[in-house]
Amino acid sequence: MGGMDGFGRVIREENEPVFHADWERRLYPLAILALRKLGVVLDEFRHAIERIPPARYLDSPYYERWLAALETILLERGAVTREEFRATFGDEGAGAVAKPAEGPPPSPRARTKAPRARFKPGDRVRARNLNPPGHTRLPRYARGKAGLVVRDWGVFVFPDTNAHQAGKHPQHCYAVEFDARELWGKPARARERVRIDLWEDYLEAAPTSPLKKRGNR
Amino acid sequence: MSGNHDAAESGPAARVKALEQLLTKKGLVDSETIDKLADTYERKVGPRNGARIVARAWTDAAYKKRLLANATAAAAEMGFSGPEGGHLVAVENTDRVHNLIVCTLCSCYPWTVLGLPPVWYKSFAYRSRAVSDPRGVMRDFGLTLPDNVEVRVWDSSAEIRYIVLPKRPPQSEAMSESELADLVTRDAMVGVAEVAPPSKTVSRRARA
Amino acid sequence: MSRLEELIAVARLDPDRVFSAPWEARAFAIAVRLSEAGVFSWDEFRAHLIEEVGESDRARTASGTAGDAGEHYYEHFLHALERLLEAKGVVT
Repeated sequence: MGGMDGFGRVIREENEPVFHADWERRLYPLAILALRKLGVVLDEFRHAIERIPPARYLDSPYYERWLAALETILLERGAVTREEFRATFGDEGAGAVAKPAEGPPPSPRARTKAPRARFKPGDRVRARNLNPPGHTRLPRYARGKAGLVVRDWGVFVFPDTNAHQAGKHPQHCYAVEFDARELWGKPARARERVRIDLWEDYLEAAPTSPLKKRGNR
Repeated sequence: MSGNHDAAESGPAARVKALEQLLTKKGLVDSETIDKLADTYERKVGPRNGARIVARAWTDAAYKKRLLANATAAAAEMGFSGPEGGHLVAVENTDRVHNLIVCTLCSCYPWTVLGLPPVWYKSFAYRSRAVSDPRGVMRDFGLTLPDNVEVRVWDSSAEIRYIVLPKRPPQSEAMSESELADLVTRDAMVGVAEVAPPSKTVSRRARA
Repeated sequence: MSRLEELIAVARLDPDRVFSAPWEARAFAIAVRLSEAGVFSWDEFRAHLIEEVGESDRARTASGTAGDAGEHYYEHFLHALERLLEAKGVVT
């Protein structure tokens, strides 16, 4: 699903009249204000939308999903109780799937359709020689260097695009171990290793030995 | 607080004041919330949190197992959670491996269990040398490791925040969990130091 | 220069001091609060902070000035916050 990248962009995506009904027109500013007041960050709101049961999600017009997500958050934040929903609407409010008991802070992990991992622990990889004009979290000293995947931390939003409002691109993030000699050349001591957390897009497969010389940049 | 240094209100102090006023006018912040947040990080969140986690891991094998499997949950068990603590990983020092934590890109740090980073952690010297000469950095802090110990540096370049579970010092067997927590320093949980054995004074107290 | 010396002197008096001056505490709290309120994500803030720190590192290395001892951190923080708020149109 497209998902939202920002409240502003949501509106601009529509070709037809923005709001089809009065209640939609009221919902949008209401939702914005309520979320802001509650200190709800975008990720959490998006997460609430993703937790709507698939059948309802696919059937609902766009703003009904917003409404469901908003009700979910109001309930979970304790801003409105189920009794109050019942008293006001005659039902108990949104039917989004209950948040798993994982701890309060909203996580940047994508929860639906998690992308498959391209690498696994034990794979030899090489950090790409990226030098993008914008933001990247691939440290300069690792570019072009070969290492070993030691952990798969799971799926995370990709900062290179997300920080520039160019999409979340959730992908696996790995702890990759680099030998000090690979990073710094011969004088580096044995038994020194650096583990760097790298998103999948920073990596390419490197089936040859990490110590094989490829010309230092 | 630094007392009257802000009275001059020049440079960054003036800019922060102007920014806060503008944001307050726009309804985006209020000074009471700002006061509370600043106070929380200045006085309430700090390395004592991490020290308690370490002491508990040393004395409770089941907790240590949980800590190494999922440090975020293990920290939350003790009430430690919040910004920059959403993905916490504890890395264990052993006789064969010594861990060192750095963020070369900008000083990311496990706020929820160690508070805000010390000045040296944010310095260019630490950020560049921790990855290229970790043993040299540790020597600067007074720690020399045997050559057969592997030094493993973790660069917190993504969302994971690391805390080192240092080795339990010798002569600490009789100590209570709280006394053990007193021994654990911030530097040991970053990896630039080890936890020193209790001093004679402390161990006398422990035996009493 | 005296402002810098003050900061260093204050930080060295108490190496465990979290903030060297009240403005650092407020800049920090403002950034955290704004991200909690959804004005920007912490990802975005960190991106700007990394850029600030990186630019500062490169400038120092190129000009051969003394390495940043960490005392400029909250100035980087403040710059990053200001640039991000400008980019968001919150301030002009």
